[in-house]
Order: sequence, then C-alpha cells, then structure tokens
Amino acid sequence: MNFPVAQRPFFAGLAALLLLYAAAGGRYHDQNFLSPEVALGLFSDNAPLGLCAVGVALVLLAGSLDLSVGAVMGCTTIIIATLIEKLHLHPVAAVSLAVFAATINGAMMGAIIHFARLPAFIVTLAGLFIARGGAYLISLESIAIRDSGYKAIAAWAMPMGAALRIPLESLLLVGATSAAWAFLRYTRAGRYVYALGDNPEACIARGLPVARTRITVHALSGLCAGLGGFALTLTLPAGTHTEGVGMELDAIAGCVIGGILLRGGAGNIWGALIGTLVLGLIVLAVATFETRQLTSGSTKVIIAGLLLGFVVLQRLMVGRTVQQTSHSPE
Amino acid sequence: MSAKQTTTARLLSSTAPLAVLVLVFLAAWLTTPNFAEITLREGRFFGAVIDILQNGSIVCLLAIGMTLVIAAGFIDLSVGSVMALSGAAAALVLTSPLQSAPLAICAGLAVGAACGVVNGALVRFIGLPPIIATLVWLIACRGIAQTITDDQKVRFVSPKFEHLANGSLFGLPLPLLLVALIGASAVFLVRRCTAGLQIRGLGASPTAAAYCAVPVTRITLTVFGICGACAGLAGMIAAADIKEADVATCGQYLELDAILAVVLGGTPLRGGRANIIGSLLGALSMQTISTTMQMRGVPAEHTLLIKGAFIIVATLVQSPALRPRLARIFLRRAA
Repeated sequence: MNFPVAQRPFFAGLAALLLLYAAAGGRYHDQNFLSPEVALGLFSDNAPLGLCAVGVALVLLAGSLDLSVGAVMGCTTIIIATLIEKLHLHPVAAVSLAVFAATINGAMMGAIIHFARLPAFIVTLAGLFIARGGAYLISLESIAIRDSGYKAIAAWAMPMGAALRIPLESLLLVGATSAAWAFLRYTRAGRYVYALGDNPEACIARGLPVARTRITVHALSGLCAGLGGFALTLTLPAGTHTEGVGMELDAIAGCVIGGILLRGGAGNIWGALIGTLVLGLIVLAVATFETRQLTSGSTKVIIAGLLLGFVVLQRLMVGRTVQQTSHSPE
Repeated sequence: MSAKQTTTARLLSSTAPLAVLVLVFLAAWLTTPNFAEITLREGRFFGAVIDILQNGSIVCLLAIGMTLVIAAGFIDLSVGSVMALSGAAAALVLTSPLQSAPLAICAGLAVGAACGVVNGALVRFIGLPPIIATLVWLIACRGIAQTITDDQKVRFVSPKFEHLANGSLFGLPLPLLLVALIGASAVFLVRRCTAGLQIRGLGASPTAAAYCAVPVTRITLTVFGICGACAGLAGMIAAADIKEADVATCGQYLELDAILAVVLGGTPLRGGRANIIGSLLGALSMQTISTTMQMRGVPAEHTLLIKGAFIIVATLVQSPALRPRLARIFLRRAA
C-alpha cells in the first residue's frame, strides 16, 4: 500500500488514539471503561470541541489560522438562547439564524485577511474579542433554555439496537466531519483548499480562485463553530459565557495530534476528530476514572506536552519539507 | 509620491500613536466628569489619570517585551500565562518560611525569564512556528501554575512586596516609575546598541541577518527572555495589587492587549522595526478606554468589543495592501 509521507502523522495520531483507548480499557477494566456507553459519551461530550476542530482543520489545510472558534461558539449559544427565550422564535429558526451569523462572521474575517493582506492570527484574534464582547452585549448573564420544543430536540437520539441511543450532537459531529471530508475529496473547491495551503504563489500563478477559497474556508470554520455552539446548547441546555474559553487552543491541538500539518496543504480531516477524541480521552480519564486526585492543571500540562510531542513528530516524519510558517504574509 | 508627500506621510505615521492617545483622552475628558482632576493627598497624587498610569503599567510592561519580540519577527502568545506562573512563584516564596520580598521578586523574574527562554528555544532549536510554540507554552504555563498552587489562590501578607503595586516615589506610583525605567532601557537597547540593530535586522530578514553574522540564537533567546521577564514583573505587580496570586484568571487575554498596544503603537507585525514609545502610548490609550468605561459604569465585558474593533481599524490602517490607497486619499484632502 502506498504510504505518502504527509499521511504518516495522521496514522501516528490514529495509533495514539487506539493505544490510549486500549491502555485506558486495561487500566480502568473494573470500572467498565470499554462499555459502549463510555464510547458514546466520549463522542457526545466532545462534540462542541470536535466541531470547532473540524473548522480549524479546514482553515489550517488552507494555510491559514483561526483563533476565534471558541468565542464564536460561546457567542452562538448566547444568540440561540436569546432568540428562543427572549424573542420566542421557533427553535429551528433560532438555530439557523445563529449558525448563519457565525458563518457570515467567518466569511468577513476571511475577506479581511485576504483583501487587506493581514496576518490571519491578528484578524481572528480581533474576531475572538468581538465575538466575546458581542455575546456580553447581547446578555451579561447566561440564559437557560426552558422552551419545551427545544428540550424535545435536545432529548432526541437515534435508536441503535436494543439499549443504545446515539444523541443528536454525536450525529452532528460525525456528519459534519463526513461532509467536510467529502467536500475536500470530491469537489473542485475542496481540492483548491489543499492547493492553497500547499503553495499560494502557485495557486495565483495558475489562476485558481484564491480569494474565494480563502473566504470559503473561514466561512466554513465559522459554520463549524456555530454548529459547535448548537451542540453545546443541546447538552447544557443554556446560552453561556464560560464555555469555549481557550477552546481555540484545544482545537488546534486536536488538529495537530490528528496529523494536519501546521504549514497547511496536507492532512486528513478525520484527523481533527481523532485528535479531539485523544484530548477527550485524557480529560475523561483524569476527571472521572483516575482515582488519584489530579488538578485540572496537570491535564493542561499533559495536553501541552502531547501537543509539543506531536508537533515535533510532524517535523521528524515529514522532515525538511515542513517550512517555518511565518506569522506574516509576504 | 513627491519627497514632500513622503515626509508628510512619515510624520503622520510617527505621530499617529500620540494622536490616538490624545483623541481618546479628549473624548474621555469631555464625556466624563472629574476626569482630569488630580489631587495631592498624603504625599501622593490621586485621580483618574494617575489610575490610568498605574493600572496601565501591567499592559505597558507586556507591550515593551512584546515590541522586542515582534520587532525580531516573532510573536509571544504566552505572556498572560507567564504572568500567572511568576505571580504564583513569588507568592509561594512569600508564604514559605523564607518570607523574603527581594527573594520573591528575584524568583518571579527568574521564572518569567526562564519561560521566555524556553519559548525562544522551542522556536530556535526545534524550529516551531512562534505562534504554535508560545501556544504550547501558554497552555503548559497555566497548567504548571495551577499544579504548584494546587488550584488555590495564594494569599500573602508582605508590605514590602505590596510596594511593587501600591508604593510611591516622589508622589508617583512605583509601577509607573518601573515602566519608565524599563521603557527607557528598551529604547536605549533598540536605538543605541548593536543588539538592537541585530534584533531589527533579524525581524526584517532572517536570511540576510544570518548572512550578516547576526548571532541568531542569542538574539532569539534574548528577546524572548526579556519578554518573559517583563511578563514576570507584570505578574508580580498584578499579584501585589490584590495581595494574592490568582492563577486561574491572572493575565487572561492580556497577550491580546499587549499585541494590540504594539499594533496601535505603529510597530508592524511583520517585524523589522520597533517603536517602544509608540507601544507605551498604545497601551495607555487602551487603559484610558478601560478606565473611562469603568468610571461611566459600562460593564467591563463590553470593552472587549471596543478592543476588537480597535485591532481591526489599527491593522487595516497599517495593512500593506490598503495603506497606499488610504494615504493617497488622505494626502489629496490635505492638499
């Protein structure tokens, strides 16, 4: 089987996930870790992060960066909750409006990055500020969603066999990842994403629609963050300011662990899901299953160490071809 | 563009940070009662302006370090977490049997500088992009801070250490004097020292700098080290101000404030130039906005929106793609 160099980090991430899962299964054997409920819980607990990571992966593949996903996700939960509870909109309309707003926000950031030739990190940093500030402008307090129609949607789950039910947010996560995968693999616009991340100059020289591609990936990242917000309101159910703080870093970490190259242009979108599950597995093990008392600080140190390890691994595996991506556009 | 127009454009861009500060200040003065009032009590000045200078000192310190890092062509996203870690380290020394304020300050500075050097090493030796390297360190640093303090706030009583934030000399707050001293040293470093030239050279073109025998490793580690030490000092001032080290929230989002101050100050994000005075003016503009909002009873959370809008406007004005067009419009009006 052909084993391209740029694919190796993805398989390293996959191997890490399987190893961790097996190790956790062995270690917490008496606590029934290998049950399907735990596996399903892993998907549904990490759906918001996973959706954000898919968006970040799209942006990274195109050679850009998005630091605003956590804030956009938080802002979306507040918008959904406000529209339903204060303006008494139909849940479907509220969610569509909120996700649409997140998409437009992403598209605007992409447009500024492209047309003003500003570094992606500073524009999306501003986007982070604006999304957080905007959420506080809409409501200073978190809003609980009490609408019965919304509760019904949140409680819906796909029956699977006798006792298992797959919650909506897990379906959303897997569905969004599949859609992104199909987009990248089978559409022309999706191939342009890889091309743009691999070599922007060549794209311009070959007359590819650089502006459209760049704005599209940022819009899709906004869309994914918005869907992440929707998934979060399904589990909470509330609009909240405290969730998603620092999630942009976790999303990038997930992408890196899943083998999406930081310099752009190479990587498998399923890697975002795999990386998210690795992070989720660690958090789950530390928070629930580990009997020794560990602080949330040690989780952070573990995640940072893991991120560093995988970045170094990327460099070793893909070798010299990893260019040092400058934070400035030239 | 004629020579005269070029001079006008240059003059405009070099006075822009000051103009922004003056505009913000005037707006605050006109809309807020008692804004410019300064009173002398117990040998010390009080008033909104003094508050701005004192509270702004933390972002000012971060902005000085960040200017050097950005001038050398890098970025440091970890300063907020480094603040938390060095504040925690100083607080732990103060609550240990040693209880020595000078030792605590040394510990805080050393931790900050060490954090910076680690960032520099990740960038230089492993070759990580600075955004990613400092992102890793941002997560790790707060994690370490939470681990060494067991996720608790560390309260301490040390009048000497508290001087760092609340002390005064010649009627002026001590943090302000520290900022002035460090700022002046940084200006001297950038303008008058070989190292300053090398920092700017590295930022302008890493390849050319390497060919010109610039000690790239030493410069990289130095700028990150200085940035870390500045963050360390800022963290200790923040801890001394509230008499406790709060690892969970200390310095959160301040890396963004520092970068914003640098951008407002006219240092381009692509590196190669350092405008320390501009960064300080930028930091003070932002603190003026925050303090005025606070005085007018606007929730602190809403200032995030204004800061975000400020970043967009400031970077758009500096954008290499838009700047010539903007300058042309502006100069045509002026003529």
